[in-house]
Amino acid sequence: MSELLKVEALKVYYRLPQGVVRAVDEVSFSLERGEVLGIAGESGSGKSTLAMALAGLLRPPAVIESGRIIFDGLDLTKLGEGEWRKLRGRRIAVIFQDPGTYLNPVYTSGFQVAEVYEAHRGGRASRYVELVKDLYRKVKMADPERRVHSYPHQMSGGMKQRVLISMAIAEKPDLIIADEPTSALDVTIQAEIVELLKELKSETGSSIIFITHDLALLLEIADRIMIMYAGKMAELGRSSEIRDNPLHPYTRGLLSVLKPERKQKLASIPGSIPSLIDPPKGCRFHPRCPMAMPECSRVEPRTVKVNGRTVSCLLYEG
Amino acid sequence: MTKRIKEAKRKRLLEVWEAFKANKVALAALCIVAIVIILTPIGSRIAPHDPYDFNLARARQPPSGEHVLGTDELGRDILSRLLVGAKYTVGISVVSIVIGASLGTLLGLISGYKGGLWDSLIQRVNDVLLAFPTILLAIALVAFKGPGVSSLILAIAVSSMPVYVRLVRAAVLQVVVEDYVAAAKLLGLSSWRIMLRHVLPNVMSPVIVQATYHMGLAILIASALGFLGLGVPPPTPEWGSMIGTGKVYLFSAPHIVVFPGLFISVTIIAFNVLGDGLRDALDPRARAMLRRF
Amino acid sequence: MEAVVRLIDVRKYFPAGAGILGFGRKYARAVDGVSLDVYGGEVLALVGESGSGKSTLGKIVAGLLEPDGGKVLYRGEDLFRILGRRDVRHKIQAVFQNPDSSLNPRLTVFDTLSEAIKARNPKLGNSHLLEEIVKLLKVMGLSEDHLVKYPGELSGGEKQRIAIARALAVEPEILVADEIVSSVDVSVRAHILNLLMDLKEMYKLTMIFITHDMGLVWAVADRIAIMYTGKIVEEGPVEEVFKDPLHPYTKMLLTSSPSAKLVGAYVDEKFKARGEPPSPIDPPKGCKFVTRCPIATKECWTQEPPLKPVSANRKAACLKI
Repeated sequence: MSELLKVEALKVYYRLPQGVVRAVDEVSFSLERGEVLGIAGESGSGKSTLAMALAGLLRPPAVIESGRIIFDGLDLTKLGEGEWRKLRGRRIAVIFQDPGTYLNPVYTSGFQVAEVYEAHRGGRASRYVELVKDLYRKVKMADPERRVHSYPHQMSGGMKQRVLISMAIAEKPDLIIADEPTSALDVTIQAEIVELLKELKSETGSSIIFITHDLALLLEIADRIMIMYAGKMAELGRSSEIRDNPLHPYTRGLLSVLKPERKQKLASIPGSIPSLIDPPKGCRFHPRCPMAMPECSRVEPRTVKVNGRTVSCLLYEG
Repeated sequence: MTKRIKEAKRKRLLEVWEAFKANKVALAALCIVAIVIILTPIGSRIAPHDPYDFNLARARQPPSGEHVLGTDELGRDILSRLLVGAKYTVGISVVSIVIGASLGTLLGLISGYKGGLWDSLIQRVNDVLLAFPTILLAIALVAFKGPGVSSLILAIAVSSMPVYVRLVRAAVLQVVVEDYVAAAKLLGLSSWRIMLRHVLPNVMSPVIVQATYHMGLAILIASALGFLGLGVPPPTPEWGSMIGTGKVYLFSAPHIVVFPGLFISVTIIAFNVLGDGLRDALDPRARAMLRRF
Repeated sequence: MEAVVRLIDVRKYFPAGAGILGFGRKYARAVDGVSLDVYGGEVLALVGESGSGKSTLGKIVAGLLEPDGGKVLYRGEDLFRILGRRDVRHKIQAVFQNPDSSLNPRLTVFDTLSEAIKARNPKLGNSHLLEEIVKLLKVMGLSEDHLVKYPGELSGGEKQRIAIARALAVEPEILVADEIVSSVDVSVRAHILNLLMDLKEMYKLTMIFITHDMGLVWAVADRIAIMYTGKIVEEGPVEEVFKDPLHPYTKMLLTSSPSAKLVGAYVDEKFKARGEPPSPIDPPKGCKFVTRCPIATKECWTQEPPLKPVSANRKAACLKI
């Protein structure tokens, strides 16, 4: 396997009148070709901001403060909007959470998919109808011949997500960034979409960054998982390792909620998610951490390697 | 504890005020509106001259030290007439919009919350009222009752009401599906209590903003009716009728028309700008954005 | 065990599309003939996907929505006949999914809670009122500082806890909890669920726990009822249903659900998810699940399977059982 993407000490800040929000703070990771990397986090963890940064979709007040995003030898943080337009859709594709708002209600779904081809290959969108039908077959859309002519409101949530996926895979991108792609869907529909993404991945060899708050889902589809908390990476490791032997106390807490004992008290994480304008000093998780030591409130943990896994916690330093 | 709760409520109001204050243009508009409204009770006391005291010998004098804004066709002091006239023009507008908005809000609340027969009944009557152009409705009412302050108030109130019925009904339909309304029902509270405590406060922001815009419009209507001779009968110094009676001197003594015109336009613009400012300040989403991080 | 609430063939149809002058008007069958007993002191999980009618059924049990057909009995009496009595009204309370909608944004927490306590006990003096409120807050793990706050200043988890406190203020017997932690972050979820279970013991509550999350069902519920397009397709004790589901839809749901997998529930690749639920306006004639069922045969398209007992405490609606 070769490396497709490398993120180095990325910082994305929101500069607001009330102060600086450190939404993504010194996050580093890499992604192999053909790999599915899951990024899990709760609200305010910075996972969506990270997705936007990777897709070049950050808008002020969000800015990349420092760090590098190396995609196939190219530093994405240095790209202008024109270069991004050439890259996005063709080599990096994005699938968003809410397919309903992403599709324009006044055009047929097929036309909107064809527009992807129009943008990258030129000519009129109508030329690409047959290609769109092929795509619809590939994403296992029921009745593709008819669905290319359907308007978004005539389609279910699952179908619309298939439309977005066909847009994303139209140009066989190297990287697909999926930001909560199944969160608005029912669990049986989600299972189908996830199955589809897996199949498409093995077919096209694309890498996928799958971002979600649903750790249980990631455990099923991701090769590796990065857990984010309050803008920082807490832990990064293979899915099976995360599931069976979580290192970071935060990950342990999450898993104990996800793997409850029957009718027993759940192991709860006290407190709530901190403000990113004034995050706790030292380790950002320490006020809620059951294993916190005195120095956790002073010393910010570095990311350290433990048996090939990455974790930011003082328990594993030194 | 009760003291701390009162404090929290004050802080909440203060937040709206802070948001409003940040908009300097709206703040200026608020000052103008405040001045104009303060004029309605005290205008006649601070007027330098008797607004009814006519003297043809000093008719149509341009602005001077004695008569700061000059005199009209009958030699009356224009500044004094404008100051006293605020009572009529602005007073009538404010009173009639308050009446129209209150009635409209109440009907809209019942219409949206109760639904069914109540809703159909109120909406049909409202459709009929809405179908009349405001000015036409006002003219018809004045023609029917005869000109005077009370007909003018009635005319503006009735013609402004339908807007509030619609506005409030639409807002109520959004609020009644909120879970806190369901929770209030679960507590066994009466419909009236739910309407007044849980629904009404959550639909008031657009009403306040609309009413502010409407004040400007009402001043325009009152002035227009005055100009047409359908408003408050002379010699009352209503601003619109001042323009109406002075229009023949537009070229020979423009100040007779220009100053009332200026008062009317500045007041209307002030109300509109104030409305914009209030809309932004009262919008909880805008304020929540500021608080989020 | 005694049934506190008994649903008998409950139906609720919503008009879908206007039709012409009321002719040819179509109806979405949100709840389509549900019969279900809720026993005193149990936690009954009502599970289904969107459009299954679980929330509508929850609203009916809570007395917020009158059914178009069938009966809801509360301790043997017609619920909607006696709901006008305040003491009955207070017996059944509900908490809903969306924390942003659960509290009136114009009221402080104090106002919200004092209204609920006064609804139960109108003659309560001010000092006793404050005492009661503080007691409630303590139970919820909140402090007095929360009283002066507006909903906009609270986190999602705090808002949900206030909503629960409001429901408990009138000393209910039955609590309908409709997806109450779905919008709350996972790390905060455990705390609220633990709280809910403690409260259940403290207040001797009967709970109807509506959710789509199988992991939560495993954590809190005694019994489970699974809904599909307005009907209950399977009903039984949680352990048994998780380990040995009867209805093909239950099997599909468990196989598809990542959180069910984590607690070691039944998985069968044969019942991998496929297809989409039918429109509630024009459902298939026979079994509603027939369009997605991997084991359907011809008679499934024409014959509607009734929900019938399979063993002493389990029921399922499938011709293949």
